[in-house]
Amino acid sequence: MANYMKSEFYRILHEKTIYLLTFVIMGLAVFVNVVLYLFSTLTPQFRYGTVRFVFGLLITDMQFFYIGALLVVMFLSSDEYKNGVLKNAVAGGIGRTQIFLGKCIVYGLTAAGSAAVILAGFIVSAQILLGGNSATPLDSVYPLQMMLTGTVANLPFSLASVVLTVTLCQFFQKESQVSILWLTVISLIPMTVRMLGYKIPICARIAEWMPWNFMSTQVKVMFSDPQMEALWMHPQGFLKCIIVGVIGIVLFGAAGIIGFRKKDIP
Amino acid sequence: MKEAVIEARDISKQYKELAALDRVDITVHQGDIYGLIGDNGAGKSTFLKIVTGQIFPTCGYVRLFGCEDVKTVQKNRSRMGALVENAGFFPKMSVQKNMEYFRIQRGIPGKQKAEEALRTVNLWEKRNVKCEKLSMGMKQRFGLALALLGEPELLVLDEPINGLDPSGIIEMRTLLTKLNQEKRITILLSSHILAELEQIATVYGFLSCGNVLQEISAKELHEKCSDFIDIRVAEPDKYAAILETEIPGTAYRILQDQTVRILNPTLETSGYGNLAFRHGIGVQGLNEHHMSLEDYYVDIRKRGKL
Repeated sequence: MANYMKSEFYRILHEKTIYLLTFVIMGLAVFVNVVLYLFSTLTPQFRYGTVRFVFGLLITDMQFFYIGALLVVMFLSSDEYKNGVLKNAVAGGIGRTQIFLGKCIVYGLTAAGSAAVILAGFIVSAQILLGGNSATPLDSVYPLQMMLTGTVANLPFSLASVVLTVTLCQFFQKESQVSILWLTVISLIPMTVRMLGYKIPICARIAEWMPWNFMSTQVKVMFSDPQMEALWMHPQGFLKCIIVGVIGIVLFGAAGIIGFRKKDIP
Repeated sequence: MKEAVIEARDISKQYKELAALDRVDITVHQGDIYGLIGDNGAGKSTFLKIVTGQIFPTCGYVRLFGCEDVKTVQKNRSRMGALVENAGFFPKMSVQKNMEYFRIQRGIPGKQKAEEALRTVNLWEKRNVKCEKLSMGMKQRFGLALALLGEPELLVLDEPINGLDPSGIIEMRTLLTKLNQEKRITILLSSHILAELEQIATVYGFLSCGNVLQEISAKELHEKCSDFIDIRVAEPDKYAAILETEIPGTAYRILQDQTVRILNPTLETSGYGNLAFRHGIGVQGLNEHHMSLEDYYVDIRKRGKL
């Protein structure tokens, strides 16, 4: 497996894909800060040109990391069947479980690295452009702490998203199919279960453990109010994020390994 | 007795309604150049994909280098080089980087191994070209270079001369023969171009509609493909009787169009015509044939011997 992982790292580092993806997303993040900076400079009463506001955007949308994981894996592996490289790996004597696990680890690490670069660009540009607009220098400390803690808490489920995307990419060759199924598993099923929960109590309890749901309902940032609440800021909530992430990795990983062992490679 | 490198036993592959392979038994021995022959859809690529581990048989098993256990078979595939259907590569990466990727993946020590493989197929000059820019023939050579990476003991090649120009075909033929003779690499290859296979294969396997019609060595085939004479006469039965009395031991077959096929001619071609004339049998046609691999294949399929 080590050789397979080394070769994948070699490829990722020698292709432009991951650099492009990282810098495009980081560019968008910086662009948001630039726009807010320009508005706050040109409009005296503009209330949203603060670090607290931009960090709040990410805090309330931690699902961004799940989507980011989907994008990284799709960009790195979606053409494998078409290019015929997967059959080379199998014909070269590498076991299917090794291939699957190797991919999950390499893409997980790559996605984490990419996210770190994007976050760094986002935080630094926010501090430079919007840091001066805070009432006190400490105003940006708590949102930053909350955002970074949220990033760590969501890391396991982001990895689960990587594993899910790798699994789907093994079974479906079209990116559109992978995206639709990913969206179904990560978002549509949790939302459906939550709605069913209004009628069926057991569904409500299950829905509470689905990240797409609790990330939407248990994170509160009022921009007009200093109050900011997120479940991961409490030990129990943090633990819940970690446990759900680990369960996701195990479930999606098991499905991927079992399925890929039996999958014919065209 | 040579050791069996590939032993496929009772292999079947079912795709919904279609039986791509039906209880196929194929054995490839060490040092063989095994030519797999069959029409489109005969099951050649399916069989090769099963050997390379791309697809799984519905039933049956493949023993590779004497091992049957699934995990060991997969591990033993590292001793094999394969080019099935088309070469697999990352199109945006250069030839050399692709080679390096697969060298690292297979854990082959020494960067020069990639260079050696590229030089073997005359692709070293193109090492900095992106794979997507290669011509079809070059892609095929690249696929062969990948298969040769790490000096495999067994090569599995599906239609390796597809897309090659005439000189490329000659080079490929020479290269495969050289690899087999000098490095003792066992080769399993399929091709539609029977004339090409005829020049290099030491064993043939005929596949039709998912069944193995026959496995035959080149030596046996050569014996079976000896010259024959077709003589078309007015009274084939009478001519056959004359053959039996005048030239005892003659092997013949009476075909449907009043043709008598003499399978082991001992006379000059004209001698068989004269024999008919002498007995007052009208001769409508007299042809001398040499049976090529192609003729044999057509014949074996017609007879539905398998």
